[in-house]
Amino acid sequence: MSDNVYMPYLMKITDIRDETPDTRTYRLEFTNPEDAKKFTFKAGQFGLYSAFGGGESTFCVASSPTREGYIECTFRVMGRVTTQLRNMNIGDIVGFRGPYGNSFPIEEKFYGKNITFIAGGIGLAPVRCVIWNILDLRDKFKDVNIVYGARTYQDLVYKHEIEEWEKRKDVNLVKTLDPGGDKAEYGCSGWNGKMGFVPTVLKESGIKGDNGVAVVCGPPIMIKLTLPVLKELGFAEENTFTTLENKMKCGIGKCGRCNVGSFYVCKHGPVLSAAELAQLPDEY
Amino acid sequence: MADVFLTHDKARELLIHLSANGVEAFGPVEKDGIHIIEKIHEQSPINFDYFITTNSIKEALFPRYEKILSYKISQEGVEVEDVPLDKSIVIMGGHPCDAASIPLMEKLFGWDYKDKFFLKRRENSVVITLACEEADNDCFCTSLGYSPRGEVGSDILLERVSDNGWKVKTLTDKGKNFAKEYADYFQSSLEADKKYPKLADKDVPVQFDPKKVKKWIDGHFEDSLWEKIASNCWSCAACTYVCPTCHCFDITDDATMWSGIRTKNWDACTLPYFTLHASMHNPREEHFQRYRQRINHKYSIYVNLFEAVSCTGCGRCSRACGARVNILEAVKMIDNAAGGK
Amino acid sequence: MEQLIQKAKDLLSKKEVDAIIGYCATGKDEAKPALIYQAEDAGELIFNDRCYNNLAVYLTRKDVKKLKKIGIVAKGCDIRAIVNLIIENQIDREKVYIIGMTCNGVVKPGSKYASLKSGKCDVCKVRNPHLADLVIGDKVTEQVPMDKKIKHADLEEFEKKTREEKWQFWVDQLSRCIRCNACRQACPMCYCNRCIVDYNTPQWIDTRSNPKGGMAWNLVRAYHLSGRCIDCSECERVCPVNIPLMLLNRTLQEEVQRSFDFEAGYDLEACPPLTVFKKDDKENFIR
Ligand code: SF4
Ligand code: SF4
Ligand code: SF4
Ligand code: SF4
Ligand code: SF4
Ligand code: FES
Repeated sequence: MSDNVYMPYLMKITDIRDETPDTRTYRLEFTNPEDAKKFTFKAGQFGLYSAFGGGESTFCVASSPTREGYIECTFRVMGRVTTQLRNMNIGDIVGFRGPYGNSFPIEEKFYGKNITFIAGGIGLAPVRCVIWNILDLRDKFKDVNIVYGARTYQDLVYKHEIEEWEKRKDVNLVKTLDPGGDKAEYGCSGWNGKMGFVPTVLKESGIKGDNGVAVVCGPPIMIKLTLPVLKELGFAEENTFTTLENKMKCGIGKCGRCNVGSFYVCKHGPVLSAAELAQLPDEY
Repeated sequence: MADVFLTHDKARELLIHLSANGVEAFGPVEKDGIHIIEKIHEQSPINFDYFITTNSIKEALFPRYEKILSYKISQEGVEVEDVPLDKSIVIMGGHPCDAASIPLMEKLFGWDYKDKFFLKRRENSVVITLACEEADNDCFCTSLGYSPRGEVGSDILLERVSDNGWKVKTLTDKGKNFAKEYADYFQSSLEADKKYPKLADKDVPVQFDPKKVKKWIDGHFEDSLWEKIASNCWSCAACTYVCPTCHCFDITDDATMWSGIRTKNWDACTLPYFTLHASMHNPREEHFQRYRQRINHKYSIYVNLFEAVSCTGCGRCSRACGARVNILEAVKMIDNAAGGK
Repeated sequence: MEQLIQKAKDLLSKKEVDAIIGYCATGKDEAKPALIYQAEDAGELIFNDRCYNNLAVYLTRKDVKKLKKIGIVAKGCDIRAIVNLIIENQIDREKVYIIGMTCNGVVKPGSKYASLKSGKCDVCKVRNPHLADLVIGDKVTEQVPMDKKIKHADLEEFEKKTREEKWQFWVDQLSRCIRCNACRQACPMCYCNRCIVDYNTPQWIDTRSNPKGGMAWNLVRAYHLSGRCIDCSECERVCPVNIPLMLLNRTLQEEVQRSFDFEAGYDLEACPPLTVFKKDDKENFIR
């Protein structure tokens, strides 16, 4: 292995799924079997994905560490790199640096608990990694609740997996769209979920915080509004986890871009508890 | 050991000799009335008569932009190539406040993941520092425990004994070997001028207590003092780019259809879009939030991470600031708010 | 100074302005820009020949734009910038209270600081403020009549060079650019919400400090300022590596003056010849 910490692994795109008109999922496999053998990661970690010629962009690993041999990433087209990534095809090569950052304390804190996932929009990507991780080890946990919402029907990602979770008896799935999100123009024909914002839907879901761990990911505003609701439902701040998403360039604590006070999102995060979040300066 | 001396003329010759022989030699050149440290070539107007260079020796170890890998794209796939870092480097012309930045930068670039671009360069380099003979109101190295004649981070310290030469003090094995290898350029005597040394620690008085400053910062992230301190800041990067300890960078690709390079380029927390998210959300919208990060990072965050203040008191940022924001004043205001000396 | 402080106190205490942009002392032989919000702080204000900063640059800063009304201490050359900002719809005449200062020129500060090598004061035509709500200071004699065409000595010198020499000159100078953006941030006319160099989809200009990027950046900036630069020389003064940016700007100003007989920043009614397309222009015909 090179001593150059900026050297990416080379990975081949082996599957493409368009989640929404501007969101895509790639399945990536190592081109070098040696790399594949040595590679491990944990739920919550992230990486820098590069389109050669475009540059690097940061996303979480969206697949579960229990599924070996590949990783998946889901990204929205927002800038130069993601535009170039979006234009790639099966068989094309992308660069991957990682895994970086900390992870959800699954063994330490999730075992034996009721687990509640709350996600908004593309925030389901980091949560999906944990969901599959937990479902693949289902008997280690008690109840599993998933509350997922998006602005419109069109913005729901992983639609097939949502259906799959919905069918499972050992998962309680609550899905919702923001008011007006079920119009036909968003490709929706007969919505069988709730209508309303995630924090409100969560409040009315009947989910209880006793013996529970919560994982919340989504847009900053949704997180800010959801945390108090979780507290109300009885989730301890130490058992409520989220991820911070700041602009990152290096992923390894060098470029000085991602910090919130002394908390380097790339090194100390991206996963942190609501208790830790409350300690940070309000600059994220 | 017998004393060793070096004259300005010989130092110039040496730098040019090194640069002609495959060494990356950095030295002070005079350009349009200012002195800057840059890579020396045959025609470089090397000049050692300055108070302080505008930029710092950072240029040599952490270049403004630097290739970190290259790649070729073909029908078969992508081939990525590493960048070898085997050139020897000699850096002459910084002051003790430049050299003191090196151990500080090593902490960051060696934090778990080893950034060989800085670390390897450091390993390959000989740092030859000029002790200070002059200080201005913006200098405050002593407040941070450094000294105008300090040795931290240097391999060789040159102390002026006359208008055209220095006494050579070798500080490390690397420095000793260098002096041995290029013994021809050094001499065993040089007529001393009584006016040197002109500057001692006491001429740069201690002006604040960094511990107190940190304590105040930690308790006052939200405080109107920040707005006052930075009220005239217009958010450029002059201060950060001349600073020996500012290390922030961007990573970008420069490519044609079939090949390209990836580079690491200076960037700065004081620039308006440094932290802008792709969603257009910017955690540091306002000028004072960005300047707060600059001070906070140096005087508190760095201490939390590495137990050292990431500022050597060189005053370059104050001198370079066209808006006349002055870091010493800023830190003194904080020190005052924390209850004075 | 008395009059300045008194006026500032008045304006602030009667809430006629929310803040005053002025100069205050630094404890050294120089002056620095300061935003004064409280009447009791107005005593900090000073005005002397060290007040070289062009304060108009702060009028378009995010936090200042949010204020309802702002007072500004301005020399003639700063007022040229204010005139341009009004013409370009960046500020409302009603929203600024201009305290015009008569001026005998600003001097070169101590040698350790960037010098005013541009010599702007030698060719200044507005030592007496040409647009103000109040003028403070005795009327001074103008050195240069308004209708006189200015040709800068350094430009004349430069024009004697051959094409190749000119190009080489700029390659050498601009390769020194560290891309610190001080020139842009100090410039009252560089107010674009998002400068072209900050865009990366597509990336028009290399953001790196290499010869290619340094050249592209400075040329683009100079072009965008042609017919708009008001010769305050702030960019050149703040450039930490002393690039003679005014020579570049003046080369283009000269062109504009020759072709359109126009000099920016004197006349509020004037229509600038090169209405450069700006994304936040009120006129959206081009979009
Ligand atoms: S402190 Fe000065 S040099 Fe630094 S960003 Fe602000 S205006 Fe620029
Ligand atoms: S912050 Fe300023 S004084 Fe401190 S090391 Fe950097 S340039 Fe020097
Ligand atoms: S002060 Fe700002 S630019 Fe300098 S190292 Fe710290 S975060 Fe980076
Ligand atoms: S250009 Fe004119 S108004 Fe401006 S500082 Fe010089 S003399 Fe004063
Ligand atoms: S101020 Fe000078 S060094 Fe900085 S970007 Fe402008 S031209 Fe380049
Ligand atoms: S992403 Fe570079 S320091 Fe965190």
